[in-house]
Amino acid sequence: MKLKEALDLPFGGKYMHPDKQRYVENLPSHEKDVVTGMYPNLDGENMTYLELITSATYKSSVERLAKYLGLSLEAMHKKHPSFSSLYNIILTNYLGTVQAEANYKQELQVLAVETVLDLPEFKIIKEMVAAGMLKIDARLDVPDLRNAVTENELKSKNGKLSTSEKDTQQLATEFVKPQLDPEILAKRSFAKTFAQGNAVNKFYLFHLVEDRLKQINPQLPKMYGIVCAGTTMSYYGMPMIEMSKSFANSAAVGSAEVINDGEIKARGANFPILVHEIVKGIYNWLTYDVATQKELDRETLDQEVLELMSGQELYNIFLKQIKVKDQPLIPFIVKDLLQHPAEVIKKVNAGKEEAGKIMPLLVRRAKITYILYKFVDDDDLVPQIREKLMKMPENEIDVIYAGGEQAEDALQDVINNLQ
Amino acid sequence: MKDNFDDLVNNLLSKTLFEAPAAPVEEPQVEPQVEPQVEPEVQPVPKPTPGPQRPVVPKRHPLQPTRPDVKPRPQATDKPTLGPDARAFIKARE
Repeated sequence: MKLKEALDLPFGGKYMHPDKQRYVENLPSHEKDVVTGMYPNLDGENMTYLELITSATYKSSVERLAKYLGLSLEAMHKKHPSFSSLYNIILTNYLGTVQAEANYKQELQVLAVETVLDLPEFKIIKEMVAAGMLKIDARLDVPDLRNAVTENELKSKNGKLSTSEKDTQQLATEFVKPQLDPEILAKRSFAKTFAQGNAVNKFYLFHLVEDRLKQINPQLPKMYGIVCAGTTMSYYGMPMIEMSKSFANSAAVGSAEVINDGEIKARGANFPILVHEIVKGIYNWLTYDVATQKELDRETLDQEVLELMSGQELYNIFLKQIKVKDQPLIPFIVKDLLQHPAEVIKKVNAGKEEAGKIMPLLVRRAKITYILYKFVDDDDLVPQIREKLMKMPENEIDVIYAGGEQAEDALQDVINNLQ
Repeated sequence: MKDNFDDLVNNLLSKTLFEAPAAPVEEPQVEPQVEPQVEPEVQPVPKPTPGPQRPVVPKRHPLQPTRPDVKPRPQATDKPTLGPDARAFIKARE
């Protein structure tokens, strides 16, 4: 039995469609099975954790929108009593951004990639791009969802097996009811929710390059703010709509796709949406290899609704556990975290005391992984050096991690003392 | 509750997450003989000097995907308020 309605939304959640509220509070079983594997305090009818992070994400979205509209929360709710009354403002500003960008696409595409890669969090990714290990193909263009799939399509496919599929009973059974690994589903769900939340936060990176944007059009930053905050609100304000491919194509303004193990393709209708897609693409590239093709094929556009409504707070909880100086290690930490049982992810998501025991160790492991890649040339020595480093005090690890002459001496000492 | 959590941390994590991983047990590698008549002696490759320098031979980056055999589906940013049919959608809602 559900004990209480835990969604706690400012002004009674006026901008949240009742469909969405019901959806979060009573998740369908296929969604629930997945998120139960990665969220703490989710059992039986208890949806507390999900409701808390969704409430917090909604609250920050409303506050941002009010800020960009130059209104207090009270004034915004009075002036715009429902989400539908915000439609035209969002749309007008969106069209304004597309028009303003029309003659500067080339410049803005490059700027979008630079803005993302200049963040400390993507320092290592920037190194990889510079070394040719990763290519980011980012364009201000229409989304490309040819390879995406919706729940609707999956359902209809179930009843329509091709002749070749029917030939093999085993394949047919697998297709109708694929045996998906709950551990992998939970990990991918975390990875995708983390990526969505991170990417929503990165909508606002345009502030870092405001001066350059104002040269294009002095109104651009303000228009971007309204569009980003307003469209984030649309995650909540829109009713639940069963996604079809044609609907997805008509509604989409951005897409992110991992083309192969060394290329990310991002498409966005304007600068902040392109930035958002680049971030999503990078994290999808970093994390997809935790799954088999079977689980990846079950990832639908529909699942993004919940990820978008709750991801921002999930990302914030994670980020709060990492010192600013350690932010370049975030990609390593996320990748490493996914190599361990989903139960560990649950503890990290819980934040506070429980995560406090785990995160410092993940950070330490990330530093060591980086040191071994960056500074140790001989693969044969890696296991022994790793063992030594794992036993070293934190301050000594930091000396090596920082690089430079002192690091060289310290690492040489480690190597000299190997058995 | 605390004890349970401590146990969990110890059991789940200590071996997998926090101890130095043991060197992987590998099957002894057998050098494939390409041609019997080819000179059998293989010159030992000098080990590169370890130290804080960039590796000479490119190696796999720890962030690179490990499964080139799988491919994720694209993700979208769906904004019915902004997409190509936005005006029609808004009109229909009104």
